[in-house]
Amino acid sequence: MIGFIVRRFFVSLAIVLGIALVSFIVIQLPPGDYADGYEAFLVEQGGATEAEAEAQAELFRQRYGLDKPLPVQFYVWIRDMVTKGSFGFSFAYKRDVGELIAERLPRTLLLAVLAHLTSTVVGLAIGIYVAPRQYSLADNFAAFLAFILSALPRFWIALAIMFFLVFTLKQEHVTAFHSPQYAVMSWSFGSLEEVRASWAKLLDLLQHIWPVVVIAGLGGVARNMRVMRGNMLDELNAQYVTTARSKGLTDGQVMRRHAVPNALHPIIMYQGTVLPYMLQGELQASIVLGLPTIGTLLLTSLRNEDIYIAASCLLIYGVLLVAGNLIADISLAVLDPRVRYT
Amino acid sequence: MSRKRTSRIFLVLSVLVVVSMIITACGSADPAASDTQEEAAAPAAEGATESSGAEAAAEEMAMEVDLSPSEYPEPQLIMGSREVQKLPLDQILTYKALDSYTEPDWVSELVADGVLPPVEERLPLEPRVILESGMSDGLGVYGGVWRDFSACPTEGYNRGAGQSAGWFGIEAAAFASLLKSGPIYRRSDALEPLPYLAKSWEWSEDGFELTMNLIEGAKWSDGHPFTTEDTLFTWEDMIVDTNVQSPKGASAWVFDDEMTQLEVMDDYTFKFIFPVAFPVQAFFQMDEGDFHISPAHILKPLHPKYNSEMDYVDFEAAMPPDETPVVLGEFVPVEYITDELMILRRNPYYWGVDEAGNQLPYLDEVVFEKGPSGVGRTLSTLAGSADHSNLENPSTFIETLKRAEEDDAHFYVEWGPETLGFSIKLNLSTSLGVKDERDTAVRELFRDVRFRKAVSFALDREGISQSILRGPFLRGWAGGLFPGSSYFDRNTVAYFNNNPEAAAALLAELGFEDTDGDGTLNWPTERLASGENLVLALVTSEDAEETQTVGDAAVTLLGDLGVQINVRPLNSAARREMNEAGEWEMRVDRDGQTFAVPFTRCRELAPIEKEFSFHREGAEPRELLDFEQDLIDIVTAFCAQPDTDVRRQLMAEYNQITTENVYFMGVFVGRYGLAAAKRFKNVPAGMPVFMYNWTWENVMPEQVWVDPAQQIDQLRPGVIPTYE
Repeated sequence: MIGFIVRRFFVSLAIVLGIALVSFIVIQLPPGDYADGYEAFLVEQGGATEAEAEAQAELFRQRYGLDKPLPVQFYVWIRDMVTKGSFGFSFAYKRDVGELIAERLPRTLLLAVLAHLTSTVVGLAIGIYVAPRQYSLADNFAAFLAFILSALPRFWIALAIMFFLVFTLKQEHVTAFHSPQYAVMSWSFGSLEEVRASWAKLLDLLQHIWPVVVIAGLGGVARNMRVMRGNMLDELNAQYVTTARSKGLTDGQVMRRHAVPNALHPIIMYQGTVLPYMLQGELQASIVLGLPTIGTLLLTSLRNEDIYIAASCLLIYGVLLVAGNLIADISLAVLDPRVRYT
Repeated sequence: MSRKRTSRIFLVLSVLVVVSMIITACGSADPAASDTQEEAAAPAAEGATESSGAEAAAEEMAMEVDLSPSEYPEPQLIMGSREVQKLPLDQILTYKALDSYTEPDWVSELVADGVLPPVEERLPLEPRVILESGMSDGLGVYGGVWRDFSACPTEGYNRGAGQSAGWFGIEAAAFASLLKSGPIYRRSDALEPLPYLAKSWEWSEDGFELTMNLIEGAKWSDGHPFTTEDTLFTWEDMIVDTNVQSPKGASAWVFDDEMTQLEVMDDYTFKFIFPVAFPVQAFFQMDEGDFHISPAHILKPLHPKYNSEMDYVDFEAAMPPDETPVVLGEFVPVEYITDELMILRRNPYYWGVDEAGNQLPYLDEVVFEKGPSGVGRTLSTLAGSADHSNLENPSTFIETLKRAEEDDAHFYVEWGPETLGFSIKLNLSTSLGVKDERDTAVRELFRDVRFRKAVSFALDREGISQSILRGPFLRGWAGGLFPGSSYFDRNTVAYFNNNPEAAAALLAELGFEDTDGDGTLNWPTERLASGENLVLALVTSEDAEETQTVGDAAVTLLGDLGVQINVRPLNSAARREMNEAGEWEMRVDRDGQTFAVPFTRCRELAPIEKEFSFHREGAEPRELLDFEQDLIDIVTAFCAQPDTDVRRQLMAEYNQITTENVYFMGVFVGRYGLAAAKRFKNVPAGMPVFMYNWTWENVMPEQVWVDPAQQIDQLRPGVIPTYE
């Protein structure tokens, strides 16, 4: 067993290194580098002449190591990550990439978890409701709605919601997590007054993030609903449910005590590996709405070739995926001895 | 009907559909392919005689077709545009001592508490006085907030070392320079920057020395005196030191291969010693963004030249975004939350007053919300959470206008001069990026004025303008100066527009003929031996949507004439790399300041520099076209000409030569629009969003005020910048 875990761990490590290498190469594939964008900016916005801008860009490349060959840049990036815990330096922010990601990670996770909860809770509730009503109008309607929601492109729903917010509701500060008056206020719960203010700040937060939560959350409803409905149908047709009914339990009791708890198993198993998908869920909606999450940071950095941010974000997504799979593999190995030998 | 039979019918139908698709596809391709083969088999000599005969016929045809340019029309007026009220400088501002000075009450309380010295001690001997005659709404009252939006990360406040504070107006609000170019559009007396930290200047008789007089007794936002020590530090250790990425480097101060010198005379006087006489162009190197004054008392001890423990990377980061910077501008950034917002508060040491002695600025606070793209600013303005947006993407014009017309809109829209232009450029270099025979032939073709005219004639500029945005917002542009430039004269324009017949005649005259009947013209063999189809590559910009519309239009319009255009959109970094390598044929540009305010960037009007936009020098020296040399001569004279009227004449000549020779093809020109809060007073009428500079530099934010009844809550009331 230990041998299996060690083996899987090293394979995962190799995969992570592979992801790092591939993402680093892919990011550099588009023509030009950050310094080229900087140069264009100096000419177009900064009033520099072509010659001045080129000299500045060259100085920039030397200063930040962009003039070095790719393998060297990659080696330095990995080396600093291992030895100094540094994810590199952002050219656009002139800051450590790790700090930037750390700033955005809690909010990103908040959105991802809320969206995931929405999709799970709504999906389960509908699944539980429609299973005993198989092929009824409610069942078909729920299926229709869920599939429409998962089929509609999320960026499109985000655009529609944003248009509605700005032009119909005239909601202010759509591209931020908080209105400015709350952004400058810290969370505090010392006195009743502070609690009240923090409550207002929470409401303000919800007012800004609901579109992302709804878009990312509802998009995932279909899967949870269909899985739950299927499981429920299996369970409801099982013999022990018939037995329970024959004992005289009401339909509600049968559902609550027997069918639902058993049907939940596969859903719970799925939670272990769901983190990367959760993060992807918020990505599109956040980008369209311009909320400062990791998704937006990744997109901006890919566009202006701020390579270390882009590579680090991709690496983090990769690590989450690999780690999720590793945990799933190990759990499965613990449960099922046959897996350990394959 | 049995299930088996149904599926058989379906199968037969599918096969029929697939077979008919294959036949259709092959049918159209086959004749062209065989034509090409036959053509290729024909002897080259025969081809040559044929084509010279064809050329003679074409020439005849060209004689019949009218190839003369048309008259360039007058602009259409747009509702909601006001004329700029132009005034001589002495009606806009002056420098003088007033009897008494006042400040906001809450600042007086800070003085009473001993936090700040009295206002008289904070102000210079002769403050910069904004005159009532230049204010559109008169003297203002204190208080109020300006809410804005920035879509660039704030790197830090060491602007002199190349750091960005976040653009979008943050630099304009916080920093100061010797002179100020933004408000030149308001001047009636001269097209010259306005005094700012330098209050006056005199030329020596021979024109080699320029003595600059600084405002006396002005203070930095921490109370430290501003003197020539700061100017000297900025010059020697920021601008001249090549290790520092200053916004304008030393090369901008080189004239005739010799460097300008700076000599300090006393605390408030210094002089520039130039290698040439009267280089009036240099005034534009002393303005905002170019001669950014850095605080010597803060940065000198951290400069690697004076501090062996520092390197240039550390030095650049010496004014981090989370620490209140020491600045000279109207507002000081006091709080910054990465990617969320920045709060700037009034600078209690700002060295400007109004005529009544009220220390400026009138506003107490400026807030910049942060976001990942500039669209956020327009959205925030539409939704009501930002007080200003620049309308620079035609695709957003209609929605913004619609919103502005609603009764509850908090902002108005005003249109500036026609300086938002898009053009097609052809690569004129004979060597840079030339890899094979075809490249050589393409560049030779581009250098032939007949081809450039043909392309220009092919463009239906009104149609393109209307397809981008219906209404009076955009119209055709010939190239050369923008119609909105103060140097523009409509009568100098040769306008080769929308005449497909003329374009076809010119292409025929050049020897192009569709020899293989595939609908695309073939190269005449004497130009390119292979006689292949005339296919040209056109690069558009991912970052400017309209360049892609122009690209699509070029595909159709030139395609109708038998010229196949392949469009490729690239981002700005990739375009830059492509330009430097010279590996491009045609490109669509969104043109900048050069054609709007030619004097500020005069050396970019003609191929003076080797890095010139579309005629760049490679390993071999450039072969300039005849008229290019004329342009260089005109522009060189223009750059050194102090007299505005003579400059105008030179630009008239420039515009005539440029458009007659179709140096590049202007496609359409529009106006930048300003969306600004209705509650703001003293925003100059007709203020351009982009002329010599952008909105924040143009508006003179210190004079903007808001009626107390309309003032909105401040985020940090009572706060002034403090330093440890």
